[in-house]
Amino acid sequence: MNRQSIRDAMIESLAGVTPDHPAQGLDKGVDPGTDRLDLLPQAVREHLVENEGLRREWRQLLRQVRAIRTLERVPVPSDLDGRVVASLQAGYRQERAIAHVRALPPEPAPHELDVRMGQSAGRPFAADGLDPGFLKAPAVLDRLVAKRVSSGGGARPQGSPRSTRLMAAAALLVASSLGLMALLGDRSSNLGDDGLEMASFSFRVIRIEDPALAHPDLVNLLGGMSGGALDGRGRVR
Amino acid sequence: MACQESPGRGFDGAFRDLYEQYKDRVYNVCYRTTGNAADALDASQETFGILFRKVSAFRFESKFSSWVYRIAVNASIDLKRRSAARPAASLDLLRSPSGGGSPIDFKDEGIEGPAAAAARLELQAEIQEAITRLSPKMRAITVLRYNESLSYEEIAESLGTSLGTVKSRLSRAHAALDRELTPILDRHHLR
Repeated sequence: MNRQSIRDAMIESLAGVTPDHPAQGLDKGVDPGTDRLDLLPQAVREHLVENEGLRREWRQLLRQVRAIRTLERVPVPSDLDGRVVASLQAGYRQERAIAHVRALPPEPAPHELDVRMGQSAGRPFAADGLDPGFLKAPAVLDRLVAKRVSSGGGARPQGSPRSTRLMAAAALLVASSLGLMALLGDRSSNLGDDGLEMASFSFRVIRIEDPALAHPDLVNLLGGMSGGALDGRGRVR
Repeated sequence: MACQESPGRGFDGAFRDLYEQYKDRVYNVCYRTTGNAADALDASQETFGILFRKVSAFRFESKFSSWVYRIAVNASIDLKRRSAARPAASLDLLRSPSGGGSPIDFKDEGIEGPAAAAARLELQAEIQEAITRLSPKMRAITVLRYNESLSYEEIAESLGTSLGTVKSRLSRAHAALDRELTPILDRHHLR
């Protein structure tokens, strides 16, 4: 046996150690009260009788286990009963709630939802029997795509980049119902209660129904905003 | 083991029997592993909660008691890990202010005086503290082996490890205990 296997055997033999175990038949030269060689297998015991180092190690192990076994069993506090019951009942309540929810019949969506969805989409899409959650593409889109594909440009749309087209659309929107807020007059200023200068301005809102009648500077401004989509007379190119 | 019943039937019958059968072992494992009563109570409650939720899934591939010990040990270690940031209830309350030094005779089962009782409590508190200072794995194996008196096979089942791991871990636990316990036992003049 090597030292590790002897140590393992010694540790395994500690199972029988009690704090006040009575001494039993022991070899001579050992302390019957503490050495407890009787717990060891014969082969290990022979090593210990001959080897003081191993005997010292065994005594240390015995000492540790005796000390640990002085720890008495602690009584279970009465709180535990109540806490376990409470936690189980809480668990039952949750399970019951989940079971109730699972047992609920499926609730049909109210017609009001169809109406609201139709309003938000701009058309009563539920009226033609479609799933309320499904928006059908307008037929004009099919025509536009077919036209684009059949034209010489191929399937891939050619033209201005998306940002420019969006800019043009924004400019058209402005032009169709044009409102211009102009800053007019001189800046006036006075002092506030805290001594700081406070500026004030006058504003005027001008509404132009037809961009062609607008001031040339404004038309040029719109032309710039639209990325050239509007010409110099405020018309769409 | 007649505990395979629906949790919906409440805390009666087989569940009550199971709780009564294991509460002492569960609480003591939790107490020795966590090192204080408050955490032991929490870990025990958690253990029985898990036990009752999962008992119907137990497949009898190991001893039922090993499964219970495993849940208790894991609940204690998890709780200890979660509460590592907050200070544990001190065991210093059990100590005598003098710091001890009087020899204690384990074999003396006569009538215990107040001083001897205080010294015994102090020693036990220090031993418990020494166990609590071990790593969670070594603490668990020490408690299962020497407080719960489990065999190596039962420990292996409870901790989900091999017999070889049990032996090597127990050997390392004794080396750690030697460092932790020897000064305490020397101070108390224990052989």
